[in-house]
Order: sequence, then C-alpha cells, then structure tokens
Amino acid sequence: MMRWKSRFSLAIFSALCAFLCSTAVYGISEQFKGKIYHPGKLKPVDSVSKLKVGDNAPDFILPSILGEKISLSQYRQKKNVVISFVPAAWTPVCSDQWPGYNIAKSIFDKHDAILLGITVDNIPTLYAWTGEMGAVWFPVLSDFWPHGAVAEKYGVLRSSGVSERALFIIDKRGIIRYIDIHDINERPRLEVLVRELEKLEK
Amino acid sequence: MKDRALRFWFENWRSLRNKKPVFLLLGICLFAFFFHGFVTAEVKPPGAGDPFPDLIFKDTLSKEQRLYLGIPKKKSLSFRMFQGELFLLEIFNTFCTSCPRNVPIFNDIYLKSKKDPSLKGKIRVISIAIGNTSKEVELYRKEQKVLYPILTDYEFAAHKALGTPRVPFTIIVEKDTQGKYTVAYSHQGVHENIDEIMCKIRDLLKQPPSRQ
Repeated sequence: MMRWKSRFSLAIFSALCAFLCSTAVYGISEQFKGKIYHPGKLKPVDSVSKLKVGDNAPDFILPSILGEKISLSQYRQKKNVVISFVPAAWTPVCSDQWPGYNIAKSIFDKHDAILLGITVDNIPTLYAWTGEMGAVWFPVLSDFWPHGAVAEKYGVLRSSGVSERALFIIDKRGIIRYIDIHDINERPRLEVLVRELEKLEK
Repeated sequence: MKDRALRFWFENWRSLRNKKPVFLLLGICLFAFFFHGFVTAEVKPPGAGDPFPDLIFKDTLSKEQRLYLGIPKKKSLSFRMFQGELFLLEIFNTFCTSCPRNVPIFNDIYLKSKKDPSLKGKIRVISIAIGNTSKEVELYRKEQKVLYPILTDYEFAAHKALGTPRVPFTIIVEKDTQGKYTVAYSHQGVHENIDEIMCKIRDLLKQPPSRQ
C-alpha cells in the first residue's frame, strides 16, 4: 500500500516538474510589449483536413498588404511556394513565427521558393501588425473576405473563424509536397521546414 | 483489470484525504495547469546587485569559442565554467526584429575583448538565444554576422532563471574573488551606441571593490 502511495506522489511530482519546465514563452520581443493578446491554451487542431500530399493545390487570389493581388497560379513553373497560415495578428506565437522567417530568406532563395503568409485578418490589421515587426520580406495576404475562404479550401479553418497554424509546401507544378497542420499553441521548428524544402530537389 | 484499477484509485483517494503534502502538490498542479501558457511577460528581470544564477547549456561550441570562454570540450556547459571577471550577456531571440540592432555593438566589444590589452582575458561577450533551436541560431549568426558565442536556451530554462525579461536584454555579470556572481548592470532594449556600455565595463574593471 505504502509503495503505491509513494509511487503515486512521485508520479504527480514528476508530472508537475515536466509541465512547469516545458512552459514556452512567446511574443516577448520588446517591440510587442503591451500589444499582444494572449488567448490562452487552445485546442491544438480544430479543423478537418481536406487535402493530402500529392494533391493539386487549390488556386486562390488574395489581396496583399502592399495593395496588390497575389494568386498561387502566378508562381506555377516559376517558384516553389510555402504557404504559412497563422491564426491571428497580435497573438504571441504568430508574432514570433513570421519574423523568424526573416533569417531564413537565404534558405528560401536557395530552394527557389517564395513564402506566402496568410491570416484571416483584414488588411489594415495586418499592415499595422507586420509594421510592428519591422519588415517581412514575403507577401502577407488577407483571407478576410469572403471570410476564411482560402483557409476553408485548404481545410484549415477552425470553428472559431481563425485558421490553423499550418504550413503547405507546393512545388512548381502546383502539387502539394508537404502539409503540417501544427498545434496552434506552438511554433513550427524552422529546421523541419528547411528539411522539407531540401526534399523538393530530390 | 478494471476492478484492480478502480480499487487502486479508491485506495489512493482514501489515502489522499490524510495526506496534506499530496494535496498541496495537486493544488500546485492545478495552478500550473490554469496558468500554463500565460507566462508571457517579465516576472522580475535581474537588476544591479542581484545574485546571478548558474545556467546550464547543451551547446557544442567551436574550438575558437571554447578557447575564448576558456572551457574544455564538454556535452553540458555551466555558466560557472566560463573564465573571466566580467561577462557581457545578451539575451535575445531570432524572432525579435529589434535584436539585430545590438549585434554591431556586441561584435565591437567582442573584438575589443580579444585585442584590447585592458580588456583581454577580463571580459567575455556571450549571447543567449531563448526559445531557439541550434539551426535558427546558425542562420541568425550567418545572416547578422555575429562573431561572439551564442548559446541556445530552447526550453526557456535560462530565460526563466533570469526572470523572463523581454528581449533584447543586456546584463553585465561580475565575478568576485570568492567565486560569487552578481549582476553589475542590466539594460532593457536596444543600445543606441557603444559608449554607455563600454563606460560601464571600464568603470567596473577600474574599481572592482569585490575583486581587490
């Protein structure tokens, strides 16, 4: 009996230590102080996949914060495309993820790839948010209206109306080569994306 | 099997009622559960006079970096292993868009710490990348042309030990003759120029009461 009790206490204590030690901290750059909304821990994935690796990537046309219209098909036969859906502007993980791609531009260039950042926020919100980041080198697109239509097409629209934190790699032929519908609470590791880009050439 | 599991939980529940420490642990667990993911702002970043905690890293440093820090080749690095009297620490992460503005200043101090006779061997410039992987650090180093050693803190352990400051955050740590480490200076944000920080370093090296 005593053995069970001590094991039970030890298990609780170990779980607590693991839990506290794993607490990640996002959105703590000085420039975002007091400007980030913390939604708390969310259901990791809240959508039903519609696409799989090997499928043709659905085309779309979306407005960018620079005022132009960007379509997926304009890159056909020209560039590999990485689509980064992030849930919302002014939230902790997203505010880290996109500036994190700034250091990886050379990797995208090396693999002849363009990055398209998409959220369901409207243009003025995205303009202000990415302005706070300093600058991002890739097109930032708004899937605001019809609300989340592209996210829905890609099977990454959550029931709350925001998108998943998802990455799609689409090759020059328009074929989906990689899908990561990531835990919304965590930032995808850059090296995984780099590894998947490297596979495009094989 | 089902009966055994039920009996286990029932017996443990009965024993829990008489076990205050276990209840306390459960309470802490619940607290941690509800506040998990909300730890997003500073707790209390260190200021001058505060003790500096030991920090552990698992980085593999180059031979040049090990020579600079005066440490042997090891799998695990402790801050206490680094040689020197003063340590200029930069806490940053690769997602922070203002952090690169500090790099030229820290590169400059790093070069001075290797060449200037009044600084050589006395001060070490070190950077800690919080929440970053080694690949992210490698890309940042290349992109921003960072010369000084960067240690990674992917699990945010060092960041938490330092009071979860916003980044960039600068600390000068002073080591006394008894081997005690104290924060001598801290600064939140980007440095406008090298002057203030160099002035502080020279002052600390000129008048080190605890090291005389």
